[in-house]
Amino acid sequence: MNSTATTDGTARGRFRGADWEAQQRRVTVTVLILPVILMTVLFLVPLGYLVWLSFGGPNGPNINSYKQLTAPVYLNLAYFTLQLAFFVTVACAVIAYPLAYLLANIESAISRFMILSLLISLSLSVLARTYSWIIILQRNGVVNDILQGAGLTSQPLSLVYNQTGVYIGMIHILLPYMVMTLYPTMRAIDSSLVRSALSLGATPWTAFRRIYFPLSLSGLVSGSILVFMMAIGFFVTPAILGGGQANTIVMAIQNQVQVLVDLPLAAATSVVLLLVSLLILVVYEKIAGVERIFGKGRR
Amino acid sequence: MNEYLLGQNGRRILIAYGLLLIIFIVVPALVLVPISIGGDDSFVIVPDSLSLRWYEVLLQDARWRNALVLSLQLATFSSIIATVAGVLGAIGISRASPGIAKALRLFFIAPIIVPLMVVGVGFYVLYARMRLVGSFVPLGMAHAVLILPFVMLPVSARLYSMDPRLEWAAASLGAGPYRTMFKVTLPLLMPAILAGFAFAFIFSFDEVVVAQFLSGPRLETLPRRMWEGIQMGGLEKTITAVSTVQLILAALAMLLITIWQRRAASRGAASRRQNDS
Amino acid sequence: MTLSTSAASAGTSAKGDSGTGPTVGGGVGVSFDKLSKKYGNTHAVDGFDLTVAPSEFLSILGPSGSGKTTVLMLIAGFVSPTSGRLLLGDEDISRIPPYKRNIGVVFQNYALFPHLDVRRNVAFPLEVRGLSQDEIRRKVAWALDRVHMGQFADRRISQLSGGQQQRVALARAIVFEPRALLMDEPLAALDRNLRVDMQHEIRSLQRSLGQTVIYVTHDQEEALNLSDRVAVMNHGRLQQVDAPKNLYLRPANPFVAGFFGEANLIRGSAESGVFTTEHGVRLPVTGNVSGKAVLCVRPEMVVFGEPQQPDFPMLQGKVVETRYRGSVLHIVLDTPLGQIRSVQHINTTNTEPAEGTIMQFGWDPELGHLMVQE
Repeated sequence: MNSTATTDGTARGRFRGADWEAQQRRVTVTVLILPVILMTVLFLVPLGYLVWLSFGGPNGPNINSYKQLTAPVYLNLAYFTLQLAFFVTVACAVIAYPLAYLLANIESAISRFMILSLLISLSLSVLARTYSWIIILQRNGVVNDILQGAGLTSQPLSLVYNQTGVYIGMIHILLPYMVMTLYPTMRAIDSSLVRSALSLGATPWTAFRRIYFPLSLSGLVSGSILVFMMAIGFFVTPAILGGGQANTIVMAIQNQVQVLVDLPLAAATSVVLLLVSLLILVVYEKIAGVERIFGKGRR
Repeated sequence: MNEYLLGQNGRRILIAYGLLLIIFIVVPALVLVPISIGGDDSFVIVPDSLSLRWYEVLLQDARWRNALVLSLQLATFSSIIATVAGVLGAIGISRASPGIAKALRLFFIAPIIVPLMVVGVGFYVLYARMRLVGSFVPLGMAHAVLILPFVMLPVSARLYSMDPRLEWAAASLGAGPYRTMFKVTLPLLMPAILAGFAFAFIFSFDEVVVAQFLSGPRLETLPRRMWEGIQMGGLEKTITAVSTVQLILAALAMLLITIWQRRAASRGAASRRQNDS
Repeated sequence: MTLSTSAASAGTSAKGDSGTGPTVGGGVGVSFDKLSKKYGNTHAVDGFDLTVAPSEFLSILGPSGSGKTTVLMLIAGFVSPTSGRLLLGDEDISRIPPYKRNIGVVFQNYALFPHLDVRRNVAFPLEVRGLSQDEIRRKVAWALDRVHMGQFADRRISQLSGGQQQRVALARAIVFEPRALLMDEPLAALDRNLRVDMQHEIRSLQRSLGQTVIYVTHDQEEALNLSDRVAVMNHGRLQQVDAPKNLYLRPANPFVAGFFGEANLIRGSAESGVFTTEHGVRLPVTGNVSGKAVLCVRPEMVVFGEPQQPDFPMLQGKVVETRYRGSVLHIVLDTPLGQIRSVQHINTTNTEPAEGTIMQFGWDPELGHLMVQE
């Protein structure tokens, strides 16, 4: 039975010292080489360079740029950015919750159509969708035509190129993310829990408050963190719809690079924002676990 | 149907609310379509005359055409790199020990967590120093890293739901680790890989923040061209035509992915049935 | 085994239907030489010592957590032993990766490739071995015929029933003429009737191929039905390896005794043919165990009435429970030996004793089985 091929196999096995587990580890390392190098060279290096530059770069190290950031104008910008992100997040959570509940619990052709619409709109151009809000909300746009036609207002309302437009645009863009984070959490809730609460005499409101809502809370929290994180760094929509009335930190960074041409200052602002977003990422990891984004929760 | 908390009326109100929200989400994307086929310069939703002249501008005007071609090239280049790296990374993470996998997940997700502006400035200061601003490949590489997570997320999700015994079976049948990867793992990941490629392509095709820093005067991508038009007051109707094209492409891609994943899911459901019983 | 045309195999293969197929050699033996696997400080498998003869059907049986799955993974090669050796024939395969072992594995839930049809699934091991298209076609047809799946070659896996998937998995595992077959609870996912049918088929396939089969299961009935010998595991250790009949009648220890059916286990000590229980009752026994021991009496060995043997003591017990279970009557007695369970076949003469009845009982000392207490 022992042909030459098998003894040869043994010899090769010994030569390479290859048992399966060690070999598997080698394969794992091998497949990770390319992506890790790519990420290191094209992500860590630029960000590292940014940090170095923020401390003065070749003239440093100093914290001059960070000192500049304590000027009231930047503090106000930071305050506005956080406020914007906060209210957008709250609005998305409140608006999305009933929709996610509908999609998760009432199965019908309508809800399947809604899910498909949400998925498609997630993939549509942010630039184009933001642009169309200008057309819809401008003084002679659709909304004002309708409002005036219905006699609700005598003069056109200014709905765009101000904070109102920014809120509408950002909620529109970020709402699907909230719904799609809430949806799987709600799908995973065992409906028999609600049923048994009702059978034990709880009113629907009590069953919702005591059973359903607490179980859906993890989705609400992780969706909120996700939306908040995206809102803080959002550039396109506030820049287009704000008309200079809703300047955020990221818009300030662009201004520092392209108008002020103060790269160390832009670097310092970016580093602060970087730290904030990494902090949020860590919070997200602690609360929800990044695996959730990677689909582990779907198992 | 496993809804127990609402009465008949409550459900009706909820569905009405849902439809209103979907209109809020979908209509702004659709509103540009009728405008883009209006014959005159005005931005009305019900055009007086129909014409494709704004689409002709897109193809005939050199600036618009070049931007379109450049964006297609850029998205293709960066998506291919991101797909190769993202698939390898996802496979690596799925095989790594839990602690390392966790760290790698945080590392690889970072490009979509860190604000684009921050990454954009980072690339800009580095590329400016290395005189790489305004070149195609460096811009494409930057995009590749930004869209890497879009490939990794669907591929990772698929890997998690894959039965590890399929790879064991391949090994027991005589296939070495790399052959198993090519003959079993990758074919099974294909729907997720294509979905990831599509997401990555769409994102790169729409990306303006990093592009405006790195493209320099020479490389004008389509989103940059649109951005400029919008900044000028948005009165160029070609923008509506571009948006419509983008919309149709993205919707088509999503539709194909959804259909394909449904098919894969029904196939997967069959193979899962044998696992559950 | 790369070539299948060994002379020794001619007798067992090529029976009728497979005239054009490859001739199949029997499997080779598998030896475990003090094989151990530690995870941290716990032994998943501890000093596993066992020799499986060529063409033997051996089951590894144990409750969950007994280490049988680790043994399976060790044989398949997905886990490397901490110490000891694993021999396939006379080749040490302890450190050889799975894809060079030439062991056919049938996984729980079959692990058929969903992206390939039946034919391509079965062809997979041949394709990776670089066989010619012609040979692949011939061998795939042969293997599918062996499991009666010839007409399903072009089906998708998702179009097959559980039993059909099971057959395809078998065909895929035998098509490359492995040196041994390893099966991991292959029938667990099937319903009961199908399971019995598949047991027959697996057994007849194994016989006609002369394959060595190592069959891992937690199902006693399946192991006893199929196997030449059964290796019982618990807590990572081999408890007993024996023919099915002996496992029931001559269990090596209380665990094995309890694992196969019900047993009355009586603790005490033995000395030259006499067993003294913890309560001082002296019972005649056979076998030459001395010192602390456990006496195992199967419920169906317990008989009622006057003792037949002169030296057997008068034993009495009070009926505390009676229950009909199918064709047998279970009676539980409270006795000086503790609770004694008895199983009586129902016929027209016996009637159910009332609870509280005092009954005399005993057994043939030849049928009591004495085990050393560990």
